[in-house]
Amino acid sequence: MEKIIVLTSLTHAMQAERLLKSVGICASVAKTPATTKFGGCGYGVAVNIHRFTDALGVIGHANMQILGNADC
Amino acid sequence: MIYFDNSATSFPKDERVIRTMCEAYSRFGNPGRSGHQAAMEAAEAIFSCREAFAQHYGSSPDRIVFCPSATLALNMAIKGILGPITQPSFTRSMKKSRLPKVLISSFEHNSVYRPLYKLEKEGKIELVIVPVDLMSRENTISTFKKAIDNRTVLIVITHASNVCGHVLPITDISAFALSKGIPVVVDASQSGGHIPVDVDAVGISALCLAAHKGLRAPFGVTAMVLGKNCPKLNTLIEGGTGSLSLSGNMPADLPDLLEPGTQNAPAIHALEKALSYVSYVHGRSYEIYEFLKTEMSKLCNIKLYGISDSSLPIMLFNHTSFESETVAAKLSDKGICVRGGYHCSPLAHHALGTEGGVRASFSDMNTFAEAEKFLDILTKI
Repeated sequence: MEKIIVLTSLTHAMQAERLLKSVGICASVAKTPATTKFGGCGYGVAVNIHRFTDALGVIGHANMQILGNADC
Repeated sequence: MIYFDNSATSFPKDERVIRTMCEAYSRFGNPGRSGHQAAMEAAEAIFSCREAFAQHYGSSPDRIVFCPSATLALNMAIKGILGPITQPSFTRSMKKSRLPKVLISSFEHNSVYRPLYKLEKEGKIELVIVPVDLMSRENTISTFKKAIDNRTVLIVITHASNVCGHVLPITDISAFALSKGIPVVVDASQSGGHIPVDVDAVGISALCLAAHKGLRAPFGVTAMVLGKNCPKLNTLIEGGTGSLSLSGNMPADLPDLLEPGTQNAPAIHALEKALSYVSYVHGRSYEIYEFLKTEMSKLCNIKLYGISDSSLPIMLFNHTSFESETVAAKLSDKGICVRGGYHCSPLAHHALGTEGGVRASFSDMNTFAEAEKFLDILTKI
């Protein structure tokens, strides 16, 4: 099962994908649900739920703003 | 046809680059709008190009902003940095002696001069044109340093003149400006593909490239490389970004902040290909330039201008008997492509003391046979 870490732009999502892969966390860019919770349309990275916390840490450490998370 | 107008645009384009662009049209959807395969292929291509430019120019992928042209990039950078300063509420009734000051060099293209001229005419800035010394790099640097004071809010400077090819000492000027906390915007329209630049190492706020010239990329797209010291830019245009769409504000983060609308994904894909072929080893273009400089200086009816020790392969000359456009037309009749007139750079011509001129600008695609034929035809005009 995967969760999407919602980011502020497609560019950040792609940066995050590459960053996570570089530290051994499988990730893929995903379109996020178009809800008011995330400010409308957007993108994030989908990661396995078991690596979710690790991924949050990596992305946060890279100073990328995280808008929230969503189920795949 | 002999093409000596590479400062206008490089010709011919690399077939591999054009092929890359054409093939993309059969694969790409609109990047950054949907999540399907066609959209993501285009998005991946654009991000890959950002990564390539970031590595090449010493920046990060999110600080690579794609624009339709260097002119728009320069306007975005200049007006983006000056934004709040140019509001009427800020400068209303302000004496000229208290206005924010912007410095430019005496070799700037109209894409730099005109936006700032307009702001000066509107009473929003004081525009200072700093003279460039063709013979002394140190003098140019010193003159810029002396022109900077506590009212200076921005420096905009060309890396190399589009009129005569003279290369300006942007590294030293940028470093000094950085030490004073003054942002520097560099017009790299001519130098892109000829001179490497590390934006973050040099301290440049925005480097504006014209990809269709020295980078030999297609028309209609270019990259603006933002430095880590670049102030937050006010937007010139707003629109859809495919992100944070419920807000009436443009997204705060780069590059979305400055990239509303649909990106020219096939051209950006080709732009990365073009960048991969860039070599900074001085090739045949410089040899041809040196050869023609030597031979043309021997001609009694030809006068060369703007010759310096540090130059791109761009030559400005005039014929003693004919006006520049007439010479360009006569050369065109013989199949030689050059550009006559003011080259959208009246400041440069004023600095060089010319009333227009004929510009010949070379690339590594040119040959010595072409140069010799050009000389032969020129002597018979």
